[in-house]
Amino acid sequence: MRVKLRVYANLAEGASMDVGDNYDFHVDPGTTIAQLLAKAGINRRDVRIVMINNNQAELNSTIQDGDEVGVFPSMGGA
Amino acid sequence: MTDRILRVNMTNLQTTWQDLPEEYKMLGGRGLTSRIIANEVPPGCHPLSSSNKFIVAPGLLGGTTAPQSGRISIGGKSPLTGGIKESNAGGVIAQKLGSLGIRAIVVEGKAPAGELYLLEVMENEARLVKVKDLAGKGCYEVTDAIWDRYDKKVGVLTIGPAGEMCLTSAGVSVTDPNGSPGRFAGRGGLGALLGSKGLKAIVVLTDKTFEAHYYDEERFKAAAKRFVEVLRKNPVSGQTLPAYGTNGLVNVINEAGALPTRNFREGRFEGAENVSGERMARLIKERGGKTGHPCHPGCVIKCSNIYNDKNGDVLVSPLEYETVWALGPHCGIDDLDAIASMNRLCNDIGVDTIETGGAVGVAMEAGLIPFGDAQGAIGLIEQIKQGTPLGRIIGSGAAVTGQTFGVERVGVVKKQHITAYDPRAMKGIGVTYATSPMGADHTAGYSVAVNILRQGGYVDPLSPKGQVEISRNLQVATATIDSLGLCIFIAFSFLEQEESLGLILEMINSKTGSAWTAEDFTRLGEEILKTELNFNRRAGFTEAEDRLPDFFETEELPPHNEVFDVEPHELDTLFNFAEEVKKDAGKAASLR
Repeated sequence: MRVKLRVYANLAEGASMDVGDNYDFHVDPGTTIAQLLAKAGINRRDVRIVMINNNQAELNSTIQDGDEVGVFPSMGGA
Repeated sequence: MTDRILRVNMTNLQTTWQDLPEEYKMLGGRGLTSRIIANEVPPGCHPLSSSNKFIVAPGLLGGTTAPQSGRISIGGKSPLTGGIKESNAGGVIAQKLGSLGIRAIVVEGKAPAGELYLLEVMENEARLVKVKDLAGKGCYEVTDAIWDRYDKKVGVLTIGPAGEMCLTSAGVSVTDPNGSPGRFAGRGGLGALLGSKGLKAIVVLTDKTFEAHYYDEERFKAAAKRFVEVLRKNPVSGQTLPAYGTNGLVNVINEAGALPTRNFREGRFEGAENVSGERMARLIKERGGKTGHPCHPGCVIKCSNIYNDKNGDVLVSPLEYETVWALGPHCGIDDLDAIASMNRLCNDIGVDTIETGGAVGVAMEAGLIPFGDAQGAIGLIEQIKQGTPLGRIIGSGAAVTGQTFGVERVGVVKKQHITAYDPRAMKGIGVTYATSPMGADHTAGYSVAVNILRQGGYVDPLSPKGQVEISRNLQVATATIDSLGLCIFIAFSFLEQEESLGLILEMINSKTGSAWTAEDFTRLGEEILKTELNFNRRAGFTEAEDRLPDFFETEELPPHNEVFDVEPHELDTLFNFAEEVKKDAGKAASLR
């Protein structure tokens, strides 16, 4: 199945990906966010915020065909 | 040295020094401004009357070597909300006043009509000087003129033409260590309050910065040093805030479907990447600006920045998330240079960027100009400076603009505009907007940390459950942090690093000789909120004002298609520690 991954802030720099661009990944059913990150070359320990289709998710959340995933490091502001 | 309050009577043009009353000994910043207002300002007074007072107060830790201790609180009865108000900013004057032992400046009375003054504050002397040449001048020009007159080491607090016109979105500018007047106590129309007094600027004439006196300096410095290490170790305050500024939030909040777009029609903005913190940081680097810039002496987080234009000249400092949102996605504008230009204009005119962006978005909703029209937006803001009737309407904020043009979808609470998080997709912040005595103010209880940023726990942003409790806890803690004069961004450490609270208490105790515990930290926050709530009740506010505009409860926000559904009776439990204030409200209202 196919999913899209969007990577932000210093995670993008670390993985040499463009901020916020959609990267397509082919993954097996049952794949977790943590497994997707490994495939993308992103250290899961650097990831603090995970969203699947704009909803909050966890590193062990399972992704479905067509999902759009966004990941961030620790972020703050106000 | 005895700490003092400087009283400035604009009616008889006298200044007097008052020894700090015992009651105020452990209060600073918001705690002190709110207590003085409650003690001295009639709640029913007109905000522009001579009975209202404009109060400036550094935090309890102002003038010390504590990191992040340079916030300056401005307080008064708000010309915008009609309730109690504290708005704080960075810049240099908190550390200067703290170093001089000046715990507050209280501006009272009202100058004769047509007269404009500047207040010089020195270590043991203060003087009102009549100024004709500064009338109508913007904050950049005023600051330059003051530096020419004195020198660049002075701290300047000033208002722009909007404050002189008593427009209710007028804020108060404070100069930063680089001399930019872009540090704003923007919210609540406090610039109009100073304008009504006939006071254009306050100049603090001292080189002193970290010279507060301590009960036990050695203990204090050890705790402050350790706190610096803790803040630097935190990934938010040590890494992403300095790298992307607060504007790093654009992509986070957009990805969460909570970025209010085109006056709260949608929760995602197609142009978000163009105005994001990552894009901003790249442009700043390419154009020779600066990220990782401190807004006040003693700031180690450095979330500020200097944003240059295409030619490499300084356009504005800083460019921040709430401003970028209000003048950007809220108005359907995705041009960061246009947003920065509008930010500079707002700083110069002396208006709150959030309220101004809010009003421009409402004007777009009304069809005055189309969404996405950056040049049209700039034109509207320029009219504020010119003082045209339309400019004065926009400069009076979103509520007045909406009322004038018959717009229903106006995102205000207590007439103050909501900020960059849609409460339908992030319900915790909706609770704070609805209930804060300040009106809609995200900083009063930043539930975003828990709903979205996963700092200090997690509560599902789309569920109404648990939101009142997180907002309550954050509002209480924030009131105390605002009283210490600490930057709100220490909260990311406070929420995640256990050591933080102990270090803050150690700094309080070694500064003052007290023996505060965590309970005292909470008690102070609760007492401040009770004081503020009590003032608002006596000013005529009821629980009916602790609500979001009803379109948030009836119009679904894409992409989550949620409404705000925290029940009103739950909102009314937010101040469950202040039941006596609520009971007294009816009685007090009859005494007004």
